[in-house]
Amino acid sequence: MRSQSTGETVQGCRLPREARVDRMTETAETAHPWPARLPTITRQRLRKYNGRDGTPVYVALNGIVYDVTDSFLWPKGRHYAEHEAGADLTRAMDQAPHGDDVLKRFPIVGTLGDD
Amino acid sequence: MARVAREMVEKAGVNVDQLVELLVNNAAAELTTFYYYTILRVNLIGLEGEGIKEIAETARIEDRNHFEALVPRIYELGGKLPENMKDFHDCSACPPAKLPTDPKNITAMLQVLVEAERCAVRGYSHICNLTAGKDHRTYDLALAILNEEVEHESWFSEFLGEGPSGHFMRRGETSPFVGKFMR
Repeated sequence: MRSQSTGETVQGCRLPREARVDRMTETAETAHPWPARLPTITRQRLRKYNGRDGTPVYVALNGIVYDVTDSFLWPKGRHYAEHEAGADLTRAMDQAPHGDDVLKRFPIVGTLGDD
Repeated sequence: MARVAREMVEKAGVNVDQLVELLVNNAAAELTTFYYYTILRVNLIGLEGEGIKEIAETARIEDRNHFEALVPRIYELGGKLPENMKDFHDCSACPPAKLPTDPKNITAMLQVLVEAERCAVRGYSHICNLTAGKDHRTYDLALAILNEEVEHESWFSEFLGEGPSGHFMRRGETSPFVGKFMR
């Protein structure tokens, strides 16, 4: 099969180059459509949203903060024996057995800012 | 517990407590899937439902076998199952494979089934990555389960029309890969 956009010969199912998300250049603005104004949540403030004592469960990925409180897979702010909520999981995503798309269905509550 | 067996895994650099927790979470996913698939399977009625009842049943039994195969390894590594079954359900590595709102919608049923299998494929791929070359017994077990979960996913995916699975459903006994852990 030949890709119409790139002319490359591809096998199987492959997205045209422009449809693929380039994670190296993906930023908070390009990664996900979001309202013009969202609060900035610092890393220090993010740590408080760890799911303990009834607090909401927030995680950050690529500069965006998601509310995963309603996710079955984040009980009490813990995911798969390895990850704690209230943290930036951007680096951890490299080792994850899934892609960024798993977070797309969760509400965005802010952008991640430095302390 | 197999004390030296656990020590060897620790010496290889694996966080055994974390591994045990992952195994418990996946065992919970298998047993809860067995339960939810029972409900799904009995609701696969009519001409359309009958067509996928067989693969749903095979996946159901094999997922129960996965639970049976995981339990000894959990205890060998010094772990245990939760005493409370509700806690066990809630620590599942995968969301419940619940009956769709319209059980006569076979496509919706297949979506539930395929997503459950995909979660399992991710889970066991991760355990294989953690244990490869370090915990040979858990790796062997996780790989065997992964082989069956991949086949489950491909069956349901094929029925959704996503593409050919490349193979037929089971000929003969269930759990051709995991069976060796159940003797």
